[in-house]
Amino acid sequence: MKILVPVKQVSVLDDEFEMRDDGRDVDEDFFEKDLNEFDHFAVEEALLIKEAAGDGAEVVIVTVGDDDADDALRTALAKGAERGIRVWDDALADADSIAIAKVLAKVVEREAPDMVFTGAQSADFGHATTGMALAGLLGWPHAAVVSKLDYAFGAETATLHRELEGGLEEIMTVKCPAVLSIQLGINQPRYASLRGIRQARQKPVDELELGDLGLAAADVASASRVRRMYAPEKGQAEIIEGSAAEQAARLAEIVKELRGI
Amino acid sequence: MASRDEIRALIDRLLDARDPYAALGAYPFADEPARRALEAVILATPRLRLTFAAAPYAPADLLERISIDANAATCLRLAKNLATPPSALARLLTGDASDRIRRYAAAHPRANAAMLSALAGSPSIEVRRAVAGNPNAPCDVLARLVAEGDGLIDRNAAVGPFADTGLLQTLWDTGERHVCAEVAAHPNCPGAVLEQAEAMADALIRRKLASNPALRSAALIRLLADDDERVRAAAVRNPTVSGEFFDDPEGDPSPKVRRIFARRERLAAEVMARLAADLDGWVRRWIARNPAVPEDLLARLAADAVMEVRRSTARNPACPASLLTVLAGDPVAWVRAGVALREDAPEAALELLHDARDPDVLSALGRNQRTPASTLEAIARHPDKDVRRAVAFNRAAPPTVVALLAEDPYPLNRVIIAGHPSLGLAQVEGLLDDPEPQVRFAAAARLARLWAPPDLASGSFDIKP
Repeated sequence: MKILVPVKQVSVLDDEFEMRDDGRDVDEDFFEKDLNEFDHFAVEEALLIKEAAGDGAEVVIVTVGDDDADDALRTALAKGAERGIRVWDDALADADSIAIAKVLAKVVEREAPDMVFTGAQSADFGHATTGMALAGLLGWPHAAVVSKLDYAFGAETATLHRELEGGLEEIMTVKCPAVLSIQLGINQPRYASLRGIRQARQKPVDELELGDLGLAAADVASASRVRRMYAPEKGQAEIIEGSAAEQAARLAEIVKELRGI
Repeated sequence: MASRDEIRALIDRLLDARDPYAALGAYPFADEPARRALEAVILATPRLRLTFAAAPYAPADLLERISIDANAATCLRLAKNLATPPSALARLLTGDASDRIRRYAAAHPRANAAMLSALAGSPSIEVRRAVAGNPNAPCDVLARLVAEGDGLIDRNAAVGPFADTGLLQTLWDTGERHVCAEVAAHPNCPGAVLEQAEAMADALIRRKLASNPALRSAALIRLLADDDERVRAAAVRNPTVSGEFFDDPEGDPSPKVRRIFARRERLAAEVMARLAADLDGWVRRWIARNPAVPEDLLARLAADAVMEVRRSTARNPACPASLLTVLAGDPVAWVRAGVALREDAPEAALELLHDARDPDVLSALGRNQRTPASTLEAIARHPDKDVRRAVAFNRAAPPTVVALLAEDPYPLNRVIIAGHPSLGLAQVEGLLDDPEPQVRFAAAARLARLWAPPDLASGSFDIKP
């Protein structure tokens, strides 16, 4: 009885920031690192199912990242997960979400979990593709943006709710094992107790390289590449200042300009 | 209790740990040589310099130190930080500071007159507008800026505390209606302008005039009878208006006016009685808070259909014990919570509340210094972090209960408990190893304040439960 939860250490930007010299990312002096907010909910959902199952169930956290990513991994372990796996290789430095999914697929094959829960997306890049790419590579059933879940270990299916556009909600059943990407608000993530935080320092974390998973650098070559990251020039937006009368007058001018009158 | 050896040992420990947040906690309480050593930890990386340059809790001396060799990004953060001292602000403006930095410095509440005078010569209109909006701008600087004829500068200058009669007269003569309205509200407004403003058809100007604390009583009395409810409301709110000015404000057709009137503490008994029966719930709510309300009226308000009126009655310092006991049995938890907050509540009322389960009532009991230790312990174990936090604010919470909160999973609760008087020093020292930087900061500040030499013990942090 095992649920695997892939997590990511994301970048949290300051109010003002500067770009790196190569123009492909923000200078790291201008952000903090933290566990992805969506992943808190995925971890919590896994822990709730484990706790309902009792002895013998386990939650395993996996992350793809360098030494710095240990903080995110330990944060998740402190909440009550049993063990962690961190995969890193310099070849993964510019990995896109598909390349990450390839690594995770090998971890899933190795761990053979009953379910995989990912966060619906990462808070920094927001591709929302890793979980679904992972399901595709595994050939597993999947559901994205899960907002409610009814599943217990041993069940052949899971019933879940998904949030759709226009406030619609979809109820569906998936065969297990499956990959589910978990939406914010599905539960109330716990804070790790101090005891949990101290214990997390001692919990086992497997540190794997690509070779340990039977992968070579060429296997995880990214199919996409960030060419440039920049703050776009301000468009036609304008903050109208002044008294109410001045603001109204300026607004009337803008309407006239746009309508060509 | 100051101890040279203990503060030295604490600083050595923080330096060994190379923990910037704990080091920052001790910084204001350290002597000069120790500060230099702590700075090496606090400002060890560019990331930390940026972080603390923007931190409103950073001590002025540290911000001063950061400003000495700050790059452009750090300068911008210092200019935006309200804790940055004037000397550091002045340093930011030397050399080729950007207009953005100058604009933030011009709006900074600690910018002084000399700095603002220099910034008033900036070629950037945004910088000049910011100078005009700074309450520290002296009158001669405002006058120079007003001569430009920019509407926003005029409006900012009209609210400047140092604007004198002459400048305000100029603004009245040349400004648009919003500028004139601000002039009418200014305590230095010329007498002739006050008279003209009262006769203006524009209700905005009369409303601002009615808020002027320098307005003569005759004019205020006339404005209390103005046709526009907003003007009457402003006049009722004017702090210089005393009770004898009013003719029949409790009969005012506007609930807005009656609400403001009901906030006044000095009201005649018959007026309070009429307002206690007002159809507007907010009016009754304000009356229910008034400590001068007689008991019979409070009894009526304690049975009001609106729960907020009953809650206000429970919070009224003059609410008698018998009524508090009645309110302790109110069907609405928010009202019972009002009683639970009362440290003067009778035993009978508190006994009714001790088995409470509602989070509002439990939070209130958690803060009440008369709540028994057994109840506080149960609240300190509550699953809701916000309920538990109430006990952290209770200065009468015993050491056994406080110790529970020192292990609370929610970091903010541990931050607060680090300053609790019942938390033993050994436990505070234990918090120096807490995983959360804010907790380590609070623990270091508590210990450093305790052990600092007397001249440094009143450092700039104020972390108390």
